[in-house]
Amino acid sequence: MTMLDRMKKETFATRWAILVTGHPLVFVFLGLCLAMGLGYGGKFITISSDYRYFFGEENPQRLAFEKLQNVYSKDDSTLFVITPKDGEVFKKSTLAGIRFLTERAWQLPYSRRVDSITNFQHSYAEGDDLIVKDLVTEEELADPEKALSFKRLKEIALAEPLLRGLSINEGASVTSVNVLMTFPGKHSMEIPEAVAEARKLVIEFKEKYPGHEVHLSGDTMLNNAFNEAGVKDMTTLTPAMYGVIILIMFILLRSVSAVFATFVVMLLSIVGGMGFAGWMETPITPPSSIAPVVIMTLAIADSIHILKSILEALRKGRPKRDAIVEGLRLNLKPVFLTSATTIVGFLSLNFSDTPPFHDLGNITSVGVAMAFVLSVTVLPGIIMLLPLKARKADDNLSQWGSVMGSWVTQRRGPIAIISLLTTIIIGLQIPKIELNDEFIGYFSEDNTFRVDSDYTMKNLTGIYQINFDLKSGESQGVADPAFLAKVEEFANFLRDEPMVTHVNSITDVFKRLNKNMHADEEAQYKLPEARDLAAQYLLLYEMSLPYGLDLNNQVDVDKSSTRLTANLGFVSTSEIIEIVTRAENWLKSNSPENMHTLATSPVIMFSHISHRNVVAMLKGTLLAFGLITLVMILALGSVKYGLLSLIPNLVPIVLGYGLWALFVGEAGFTIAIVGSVTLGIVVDDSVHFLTKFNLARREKGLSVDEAVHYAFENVGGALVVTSVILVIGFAVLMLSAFKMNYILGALSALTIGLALLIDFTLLPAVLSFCGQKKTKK
Amino acid sequence: MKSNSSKTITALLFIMLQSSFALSAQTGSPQQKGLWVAEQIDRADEGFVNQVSKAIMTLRNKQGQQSIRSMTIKSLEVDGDGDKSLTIFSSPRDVKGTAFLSFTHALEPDDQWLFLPALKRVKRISSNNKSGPFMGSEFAYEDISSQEVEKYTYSYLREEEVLGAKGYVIERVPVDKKSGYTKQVVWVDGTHWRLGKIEFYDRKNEKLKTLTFEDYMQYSNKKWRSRRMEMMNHQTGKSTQLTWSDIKFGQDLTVRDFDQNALKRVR
Repeated sequence: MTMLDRMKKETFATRWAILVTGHPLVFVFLGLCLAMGLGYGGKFITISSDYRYFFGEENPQRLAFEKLQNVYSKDDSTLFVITPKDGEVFKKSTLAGIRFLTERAWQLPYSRRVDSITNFQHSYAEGDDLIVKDLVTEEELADPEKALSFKRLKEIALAEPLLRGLSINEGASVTSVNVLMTFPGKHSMEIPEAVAEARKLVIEFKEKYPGHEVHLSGDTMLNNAFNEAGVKDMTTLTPAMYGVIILIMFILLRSVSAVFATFVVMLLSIVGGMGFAGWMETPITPPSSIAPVVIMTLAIADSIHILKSILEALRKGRPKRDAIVEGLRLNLKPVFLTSATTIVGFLSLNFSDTPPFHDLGNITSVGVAMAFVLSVTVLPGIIMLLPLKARKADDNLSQWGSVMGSWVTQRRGPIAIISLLTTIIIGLQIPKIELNDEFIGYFSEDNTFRVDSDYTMKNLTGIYQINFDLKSGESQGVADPAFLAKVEEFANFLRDEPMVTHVNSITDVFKRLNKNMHADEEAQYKLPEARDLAAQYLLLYEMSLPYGLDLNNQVDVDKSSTRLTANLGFVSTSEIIEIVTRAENWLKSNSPENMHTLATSPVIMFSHISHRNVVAMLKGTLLAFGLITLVMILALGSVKYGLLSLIPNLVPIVLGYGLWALFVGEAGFTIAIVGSVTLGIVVDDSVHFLTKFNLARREKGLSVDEAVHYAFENVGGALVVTSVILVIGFAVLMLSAFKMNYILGALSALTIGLALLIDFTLLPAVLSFCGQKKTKK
Repeated sequence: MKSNSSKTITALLFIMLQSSFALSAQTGSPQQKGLWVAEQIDRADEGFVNQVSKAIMTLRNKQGQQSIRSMTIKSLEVDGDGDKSLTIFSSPRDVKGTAFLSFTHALEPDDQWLFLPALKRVKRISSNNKSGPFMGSEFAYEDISSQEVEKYTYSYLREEEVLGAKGYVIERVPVDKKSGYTKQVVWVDGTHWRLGKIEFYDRKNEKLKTLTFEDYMQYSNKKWRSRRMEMMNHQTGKSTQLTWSDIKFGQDLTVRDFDQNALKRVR
C-alpha cells in the first residue's frame, strides 16, 4: 500500500478531484443514488423490545434461564401496583376494583395467568371437605352477610406467605395484580401492544374506581422501557445534535454553501447507515439508537477537513475549481485513513457479548464509510455547483500552534515524565470502577418505568427475581418429605437474607394443605410426614384449582423438581452476585447433590453482562489496536513512528478510564466498548499529526523539533476544531434517557478531549526525545 | 331424585323438539345447523351403556422432558343426565389407588369426589375447578368430562373434509361462565360423527390448544373410539398425549359402582 501510495497518491487524488469537479452533477446524483439505495432499507427498521436481545444466543446465563422457562413456563410479568389513597386495601371499593382488574387482565393480549389477592386460591376445611376458592368472590362482595369480614380477609392475606410481601405489603395499604404474559416473539410490536392495552386498562380502572393510584412495573414494562428509551433517544438526541452541529458549522465555516454541503453529507451518511440496519433486519435498541448521532459526529469531521482546505485555498486567491482540487488532494489520504481506523474500531464491537453493540458498530461503520465516499463525491460536487466565497480568516489558531510547538519542545523532559507518571498513577485506579448493571438504574430518574419500579420496591416488593430449579432427583420426588424439608430450609435461609423481600416456595402450599386436611388445626401447619400423603394432597389441590391458576409454573411435568423464586429489593449488581453465590454455596454444603443448582433470571443475566463484555471486548480492543497500529505503520511508512503512535492512542484511553474511576466510580456494561469506540477516533488526531510530522522530516528535510513546529502550525488548528466537534457530539449523548448511553457519551467525550491534550504535549515531547537520541548517537 | 327426574323429562322433551327440526336444520340458520351437528354427535354416542378402558397420559414440556400417568376409567351412561365416571390411578406410585368419581351434569356444576388412599378418606372437590388442568396435563377437566349438548351454544361454520370423509366444522360457546374458554371450534366427520379435531380459544379469544383425535376403531357395539388423543398447547409449547387401550363395553356395572362408597372399594 505504501508503494502504491507513493507512486500514485498525489496523482490519484488530483485526478479524482478533477474528475469530480468536472462532472459535479453526475457525482452528486451517483452519491444520492447510493444513499437512497441503502436508505430504502429504512422501511424495514424495527425497534426491539426484548431485553433478551442484550444477550448473545450462546450467553450461558441466557441459556440457563431459557432452560428453566422451558421446564416451567416462559412468561413475562406485568405488575399493576394499586394504592388506595386512604391507605386501606381491605374495603369494598378497593377489593371490588381489584376483582375488576383481575378479571379484565385475563383479556390483555398474551396474558396467560393473573394473580391477585382476590383470586388467590384460598383453601380451608369445611367438615370433611377441602374447599378451594377465590379469597374474595363477587357474590360475597355484593352480599357482606355471607362473606368473611374485611378484617378476617386481611388477617388471612397477611398470614399467607404466598401473598405477604409480594401481593400485599405489611401495612395492607398497597397491593398488586400480577399478569403473566407469554409473548410468542413473532413481531416487535407484541410488547408495546400489550403495554398500550395495560395502560388503557389502568385508565378504565381509575375512572371506575376513583381514589386509587396505579403504578406499572415488571418484565414487560422493562422491555417496553428499553423500547421507549430507544425511540426517545432517536427522536430527541438526533434533533439536538442537528442544532448543535449547524451552530458549530456556521461559526467555523461561515458559508451557507459549505454548511449546506456538510449537512447533505451528514444526512445521507445517516440515511445510509440506518438503511443498512433496515436491510440487515437489525432491530434498534437503546445502544444502536445512538448510531445517527455518532455517524453525524464522525461524518462532519471528514467534511470539515476538506472544506477548511478548500476555503483556505480560496482565501489565497485560487479559483474555485482549483481550490476544490487542492482540498481533495491534501485530504483524500488522511480522510481515508481516519475513516478506515474509525471503522476498524467500531467493527471490533462485534467481539462484544451484547448484540446491540454489534449493531451499533456495524451501523456506524457503514455510516462512516458512506461519509467518506460522500465527502469525496457529493461534497465537492455541491460546492462546485453552489457559489462559495471565502471570508477573511483569523489565523489565531496556527499562530497559537506555533507557540505551543516551541513551548512543548523546550520542556519535553518534564512533560514526558509528568504525563507518563500521571498516566500510570491514574491508570492504576481503573480497577476501582464499580460495574453496576442494576437495570432499573439504566433509566433516568424521570422515566416512568424507573419511577413506578422504585415505588414498587419501596412500598410493596422487590422486582428483581432469582429462580432456583431444585431437583429431587427422582420422578414424582417433589412429594418426598426429606426433599421438601430441604426446600423449606433453603427458603428460610433466603428469607433471612436482608435484601430478600419475598420467597415463593411450594412448601408453603404443602403446609397449608396439611393444615386444611387436619380440620385447619394451626398445629398442623407443617409439611406432610409421608410421601404418598403429600402426593395425594397435591393431587387433590391441583384438581381443585381453576383455569390458569395451576402449579405448572412451579412444578415440572414429572413432579420431579420445583421452582423456587426469591424477590430482591434495591440491590446493586455486586450485591446480587454475592447473594446468589451465598445461596448456591448453601445448597452445595447443605443439600444433596441433586439439589445443587445455579440461580437464573434476567437480573442475573444483567449481573454478568459487564464482566462478560469487558472480557470479550478486551480481545476485540487488542485486535483493533493491532490492526490500527499496522495501518499507522503502513501509512507513515515507518515502523518506529507507527509504534510511537501507540502512545497517543493508548494513553488517553487509560487516562479516561482512570479519571472515571476516580471521579465517578460507577459504570455499567457500556464501559467495555468505550475503548474500541474512542480508539478509532483518537487515532485520527495522531494520524494527522504524524503524517504532517513525517512529511516535514522526509520531504522538507526539517529537524525533529522543526518538524514538530511544522505539524503544530499545519494541523494544530484543524485538530482542535475536530476534537471540539467530537467532544460536543459525544457530550450530546449525555442527554440520553438511557444511562448506558450517558456513560458512553461522557467517557468518550472525556477520552477524545484527553487525546487532543496528549497529542499536543506528550506526543511531540516523545517525538522530540527520539530525535534527540538519534542525533546524539 | 325428584328434581332429577323432572330434569330428565325436560331434557328429553328438549331433545325431541330439537330432533323434529333435524331435517330442516340443514337449511336453517347457522345456530340451528350447528345444534343439529352437535345432536348428531351426541346421538352417535348414545346407548354405549357403559365402558371400561385403560388410559395412559404422557405429559411433555418444551424442554422435551416427559412424564407418564396411567389409569383405568369406567363410565356409565345415565339417561337424561350427564354420564358418571370413575377414574382409578395406577401410576405414578405415590397416587396409586387414588380414585376420582364424577357425575357430569348438563347445566349444573358437576359433582366430584376424590378418594385418597393415604388418608383413607373421600374428599369432595370444589365445583369451580372444571377449567383447571387434569393431573397437571394439558387437558382441562372440562375437556375430558362427558360432552352434553346443553353445555354449549352452537353455530355452523362450514363443510370440510374430516378424517378422510365429508365433514362439518362448528363453533361452540360454553354456557358456564367458569369455563376457561371463550369458544371451541370442532371438526367432525359427517358419516360416523367422529370428532377429528377441536381448537380451544382462551379468555382473550386467542387459540390456546388443539386436540386431535387419531387411531379410530369401531367396536362390536358399532361405537367408534379414538385411541390416541394429542393435546397441544400453543402458548406454552407443552403437550399431552392420551392413549386408550383395552376398551370394553357392556360390562357388569351398575349405579352402585359409581357412588362414594364404591370409591373406597376400588382396590
